Amino acid sequence: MNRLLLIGVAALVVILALTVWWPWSGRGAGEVVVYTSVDDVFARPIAEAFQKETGVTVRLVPDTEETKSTGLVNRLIAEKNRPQADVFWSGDPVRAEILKKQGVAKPYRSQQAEGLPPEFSDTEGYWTGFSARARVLIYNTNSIAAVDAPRSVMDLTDPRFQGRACIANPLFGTTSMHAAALFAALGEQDARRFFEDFLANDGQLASSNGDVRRLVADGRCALGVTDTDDANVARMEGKPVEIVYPDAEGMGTLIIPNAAVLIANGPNPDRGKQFIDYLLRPQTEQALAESAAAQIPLRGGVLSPEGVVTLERIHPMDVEYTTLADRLEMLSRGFLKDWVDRAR
Amino acid sequence: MIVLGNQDNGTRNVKVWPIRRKEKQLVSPLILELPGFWRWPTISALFLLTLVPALPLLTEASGTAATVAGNVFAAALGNTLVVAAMATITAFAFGLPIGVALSVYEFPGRRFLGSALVLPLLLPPFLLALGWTMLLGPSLAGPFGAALVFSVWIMPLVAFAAYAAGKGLSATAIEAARLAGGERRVVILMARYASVPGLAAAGLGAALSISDPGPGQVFGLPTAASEILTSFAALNDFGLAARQSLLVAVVIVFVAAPLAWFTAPRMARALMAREVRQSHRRCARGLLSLATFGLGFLIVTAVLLPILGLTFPATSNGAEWFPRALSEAARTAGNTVLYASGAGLIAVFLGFVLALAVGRDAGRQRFVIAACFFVLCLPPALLNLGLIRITAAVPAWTDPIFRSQFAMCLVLGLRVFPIAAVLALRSWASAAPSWTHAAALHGVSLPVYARRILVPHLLPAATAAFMLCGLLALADIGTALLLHPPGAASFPLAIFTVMANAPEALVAWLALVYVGTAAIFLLGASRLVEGRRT
Amino acid sequence: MKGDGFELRAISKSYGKQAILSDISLELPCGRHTALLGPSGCGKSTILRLLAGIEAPDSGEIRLHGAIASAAMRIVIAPHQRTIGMVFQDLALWPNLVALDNVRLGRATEKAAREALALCGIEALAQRRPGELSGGQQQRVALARAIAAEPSFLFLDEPFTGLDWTTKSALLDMISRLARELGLTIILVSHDPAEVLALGSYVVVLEQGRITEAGALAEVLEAPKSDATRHLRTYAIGLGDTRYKGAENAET
Repeated sequence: MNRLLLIGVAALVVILALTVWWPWSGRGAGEVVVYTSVDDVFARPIAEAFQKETGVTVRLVPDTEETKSTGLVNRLIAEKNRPQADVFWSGDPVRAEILKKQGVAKPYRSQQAEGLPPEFSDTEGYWTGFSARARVLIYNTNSIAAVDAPRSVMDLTDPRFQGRACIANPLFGTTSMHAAALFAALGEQDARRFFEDFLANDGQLASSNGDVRRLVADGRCALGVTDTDDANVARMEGKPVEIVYPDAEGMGTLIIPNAAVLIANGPNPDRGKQFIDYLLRPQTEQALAESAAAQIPLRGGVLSPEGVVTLERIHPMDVEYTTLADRLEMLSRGFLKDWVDRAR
Repeated sequence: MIVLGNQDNGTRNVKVWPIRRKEKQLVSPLILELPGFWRWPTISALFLLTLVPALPLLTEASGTAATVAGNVFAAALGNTLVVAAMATITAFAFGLPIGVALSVYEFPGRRFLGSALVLPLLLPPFLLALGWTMLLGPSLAGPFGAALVFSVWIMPLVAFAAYAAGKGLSATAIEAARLAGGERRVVILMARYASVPGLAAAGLGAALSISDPGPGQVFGLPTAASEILTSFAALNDFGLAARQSLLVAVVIVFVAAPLAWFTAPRMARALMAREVRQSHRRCARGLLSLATFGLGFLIVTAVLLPILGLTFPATSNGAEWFPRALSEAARTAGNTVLYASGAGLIAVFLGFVLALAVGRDAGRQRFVIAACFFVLCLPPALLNLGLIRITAAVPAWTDPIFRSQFAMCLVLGLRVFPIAAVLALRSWASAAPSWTHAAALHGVSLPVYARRILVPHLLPAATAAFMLCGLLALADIGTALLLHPPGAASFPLAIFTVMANAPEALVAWLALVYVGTAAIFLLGASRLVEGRRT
Repeated sequence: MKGDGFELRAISKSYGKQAILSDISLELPCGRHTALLGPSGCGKSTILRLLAGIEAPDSGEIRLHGAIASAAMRIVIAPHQRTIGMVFQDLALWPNLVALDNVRLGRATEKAAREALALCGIEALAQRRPGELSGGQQQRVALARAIAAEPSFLFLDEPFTGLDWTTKSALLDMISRLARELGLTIILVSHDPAEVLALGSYVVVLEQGRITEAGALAEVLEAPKSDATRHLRTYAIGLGDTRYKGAENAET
């Protein structure tokens, strides 16, 4: 029994050592901590490539979909006084704006940002936009013929698609940004009418963009609004879906750039800047374009695969990204919250 | 030896020892049975330890202008209560008989059933909900779907609580029941004996499910948890979320108070220490065998179907994702095992300390069970974000403790220790008080008593609690996301961070690898335990 | 010697709102085997537990050899220091330990434990667990544990419940012999007249937490004042026991 007790105590000491001291023994200047809301399947290869090229260890912390947990943005805000992260790689500029407003971000203008259009970045340098997704329509080709394909986001309220259209919860993720953008582009009245008409047309509320993809791919919905990376995954899986970049002749397609944010008072700011520099390179835009994410390079001249629609071929929606966060906050507490409650 | 004369007739030899011998002062095990000043402070300290991380957000709650209770939140709270009640009743109705059957009878597929029962605990309820929708589509929308998912998730807790209670009944009692009324009487006796621990397990499992927004969101049902998640994730309003969390917790304590009042003093009838003979399982025959098999088949179907729905894309068209799934598993295996075992150990330690502090007093038991309800239904984010705030405010030299895997294990263990506490209360109460009295009287010190008698008696419950708590801890994705040290994610978290835009086949393989690995581990562990017992 | 043995002074004890003992005063000197009689719930076992020091009285004092052993809400002399061996009503054998370990876990050495098992006639069963023993064998293990550390007092709390007459008779004879050989003072709680007649020399009758009758066995048999002692006398007559006429009892 005494021997067992000794073994138990030894095991406990080893476990404590493993959990408490060992992880910290190697921490130092040779690593960078990156939080990211970009999907792990897309972010990890970039991080691994950076690690391989520079020898700097990347501790990547990916996020879940917002509807599944409180999210990394909240973690960053809570850690504000003594952050663990050096960089936040955001999948959209709204999250980056929130961090800027909360005092979590620090301005950094990377030289690698040369060539990136300034309208996709923060004017004060708190975040830099690169490689974008777009908000697109996807429709099931077994339910809708090509000639009847939707062309505008407004088609979600078309009676011919009654009960067969779906949209993700506009309180979360890129759908929330899209909702704010619609209010900015259409004006308060028209935007409200769009959402009310969607409900009146028996539109379905999905829990996430991934859910929209599944609903349309399985034919349970005929069409929906989602991001290009979701749509591309469905196509790669061989699902019967087609993608439409909506409102080419109207208000335009919402472009959602990635945003690289340097965290204020991060443990390794130099490594953080080094990682941001790497993110903003043309080669990274190319890699993201070639990945399953099929992200749209914002720079002209970056080689993209056949299936990736370049920026020149899209009519982008005219929005000021820096104001979307404020508008979104107001909408989330007001109209959108009320609308979601009625939609469920 | 001193020779004394007696009052009546002559001298006789009577031993009278000095009153205080010069012997090593020993700590008497009687401290475990007598009232003591240490009990309430210990109980309070344990629950305060759990709630202290929430303080930063709770203080923020008082300053928030936004109202908490409106029609929408009230309706969501109502949905939550309805789903919790349905899940409690269903889990109890199925879990109790199957737990009794597992403890008393041998029947075909018994071992398989016991292993299969654990599977729902491996997966967060969100994944189970997703599995059901992939199989059955939108037909499960609303409270029924959410209740089904939570019932299947909670049922193992009920079954194992009933199983443990059944093992505590002596052979004499069972044989007496058998003589009096056959197997029917035995089943009734076992069910009555196991019903209170089973009911407590069902209630506590339901409390744990209240803080999970997943199934509600999948089935389009507004719940309190999804409202709180909206406050956190969409509105970034920590104060509002804290107020909503408090309101939910208070309501749940009120609703669950009768359950706590009823179950606490009945958690176990302490055995007569004379009744030490364990019963052996008997082969179920005839109608009993049929009923048991049928019930087991239903339960296994309910357990396996959502897992099949989730993993079907793996087999249908996606074998090329298997190596990727394996590599994710390999990358996170060490942390996964560490978090599960660390959280399990901490939960068991705290749970059993709590049980010893509670003792046999009905008032303390009621308070503790009510407090367990309160703690379990608080959303993990409330505690986690508060802890992050605290650790950001303390010096960097504390990071190896507060920002390490140890902190993850500690927080996860604190989250699920009420489950261990319920099993511990049951196990401690089944230890006869006369064991302690005999030890105290015959000079057995507390450490020796604990090591030779108490720990072996509590070990089966501790082992079960360790496994249950470890599995439940792993399924807490919210805590894992917020608190894991950068680069030290667990496998379940990796599934969630990958699944947003991963091909369905990859997600399916990840789920399959996770469930398969855990099932093999559990099967091996149960064979090892059964082998040692024989 | 005056003051040797136990003395209870104005002892009261309640469990919650239910009063179990009310103002009990009693002397239990060394060498005098005392039997506590009375209906269920009258407080007999409670007195044993208070004497053993495993519970504290609500008020009053318990003295051991003249020194305060327990006072109101306090246990002054720890149970293991009172040189008591006890056979509990439920035997309180530890189920995961073999018989030998059950006996020697406390203060008794292994040698003393083996001797105790031998005295109780079960040395051959030393390596069996309680679950593998019959009721009578378990009783003997419990008795061996009680005597192994050479106590002054032997407390027996209805120790023969559920045993057949043959086994009980053998155990009674054995305990009587052990008490003589080892100089033990027996305090017995029992309903069974046979046990009282075999082991007791002094009888205390309790009803509803109070002492209603107390006296030497012979006196009590001669002139019983309570139902319990009347029943005892009837039993003794039936046995042909002549002690009620004042013949010598079990004391030696």
